[in-house]
Amino acid sequence: MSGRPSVIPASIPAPAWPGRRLRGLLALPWLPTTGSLALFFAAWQILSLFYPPILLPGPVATLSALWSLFVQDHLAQAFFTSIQSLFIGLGLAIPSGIILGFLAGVSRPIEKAIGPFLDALYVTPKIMLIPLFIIWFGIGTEARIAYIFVVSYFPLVVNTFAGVRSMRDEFTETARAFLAGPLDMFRHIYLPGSIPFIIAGIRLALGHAIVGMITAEMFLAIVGLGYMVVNFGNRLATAKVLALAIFVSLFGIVVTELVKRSESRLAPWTRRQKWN
Amino acid sequence: MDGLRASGICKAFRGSPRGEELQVLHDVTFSVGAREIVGIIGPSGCGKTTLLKVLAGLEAADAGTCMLNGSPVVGPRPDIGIVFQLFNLFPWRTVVGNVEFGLQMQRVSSVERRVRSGRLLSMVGLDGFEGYFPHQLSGGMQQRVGLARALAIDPALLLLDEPFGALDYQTADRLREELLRIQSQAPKMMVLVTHNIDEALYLSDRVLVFSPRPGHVLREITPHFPSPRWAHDIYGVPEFAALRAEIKSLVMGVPV
Repeated sequence: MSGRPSVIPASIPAPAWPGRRLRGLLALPWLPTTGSLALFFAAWQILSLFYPPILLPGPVATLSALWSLFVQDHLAQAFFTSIQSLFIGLGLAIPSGIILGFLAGVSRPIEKAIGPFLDALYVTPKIMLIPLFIIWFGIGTEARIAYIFVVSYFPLVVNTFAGVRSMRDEFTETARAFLAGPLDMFRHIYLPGSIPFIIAGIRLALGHAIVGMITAEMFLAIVGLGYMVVNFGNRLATAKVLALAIFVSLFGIVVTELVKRSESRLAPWTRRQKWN
Repeated sequence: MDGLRASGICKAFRGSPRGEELQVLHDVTFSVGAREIVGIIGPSGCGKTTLLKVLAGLEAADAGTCMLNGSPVVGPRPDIGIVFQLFNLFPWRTVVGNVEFGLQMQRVSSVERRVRSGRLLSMVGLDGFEGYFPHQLSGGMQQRVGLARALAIDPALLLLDEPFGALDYQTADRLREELLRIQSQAPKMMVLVTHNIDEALYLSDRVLVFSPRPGHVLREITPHFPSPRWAHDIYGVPEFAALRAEIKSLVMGVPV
């Protein structure tokens, strides 16, 4: 409507062009997402009619495979084994990554000292380290935890670092004028100011960690979701492989969403809404 | 020795593109008495804000001394409050958290902080906004918080760096009047840096006109307006127009 020239009096009805009703529907907030999902599943179902289930099982078959994974194949147990190493790995990476990011943020020498290692950590395909981890830790839980730690470390350091460095000078100067000491600066300025960055880092780290969890299990475990995927893949249980992929992506979506929501709790000032 | 005494303050900055020194302040000497508001006005870039930072102990002067109530200012002090042009409220702290910041840094107990911040917030007319975050407030309200934060530490000297420069005309006008009301209730020593001639004349007991860079005191003007200034329309007093023209000619080089 905004494109209508203002010289046309308002009493003249807008031309009922054919796209209007569709545009009104698209304005519904839930429609684009639900619609695209529905289209995807419909297309998948139709496509699956033309192929044998061993190549492409349909969504209904996949869903029933997911059910049988739970009741026959002990999916819940494998899932708990998997997330155990996930949370231990993250539990080690999050505090240490944040601390290192802070140190690099406040000190140029530390930033320069860890620079090459961080760059290396970023560009090296972490999967290359798996044989090394097998040599060092065997194929048990420790190796998986170490791998999850390594894949999730980088975003934590870099985001915390960015949070500290993005602190505006006027805030540190104001704090100094009101007699903030070095510890106050950390506790009352840098830490709260970095929280949005740290949470973004945790979200990224979580994504990497989930990928790392499955990768590690596919390579060096006889337990967990990754092992199940390999196992069913080898047995050409296509529906179960698909079901596992969907299960992991659902899990990822849920935990990332939880972290996202924690931001408005931990950093309520980032909820930008003006009322004046 | 009560009051603020700045003598022979010089300040230069290094690191211009060609590595030259930029002399910002040259031999600045003035004093502020107890309960006095001194306005500093000058062309932009004359070092007004730098001077304020030196007075606040945030920047060290290259030469000269600054004495507040008999002791030299060598760094930030608990008896100096400062209000910034862009408010500089901490976005992660609520209104009450911002007002209490200085007290918290001075390790004042939380009970005492609550009492003082409550008093200050009602003084600046922000009762009921304790739990709001700065971004939820209008500019005028944010600067009220900034003022309350500076006054909360009960400073001997209040420094104001173009405090109303970022506000719209009407809001700024109201806040100026309120500043004078607060001053009449609990007088403070104040140094007000501004580029607004009307504001300087309205708020100040004495106006120091600064030269272009390197800044120094060009002239000292003491207006004699009816008191209290906020109760009279001093903008309409003939002396106001005369002083205004005089300052304008000094600041902008326009002949009187």
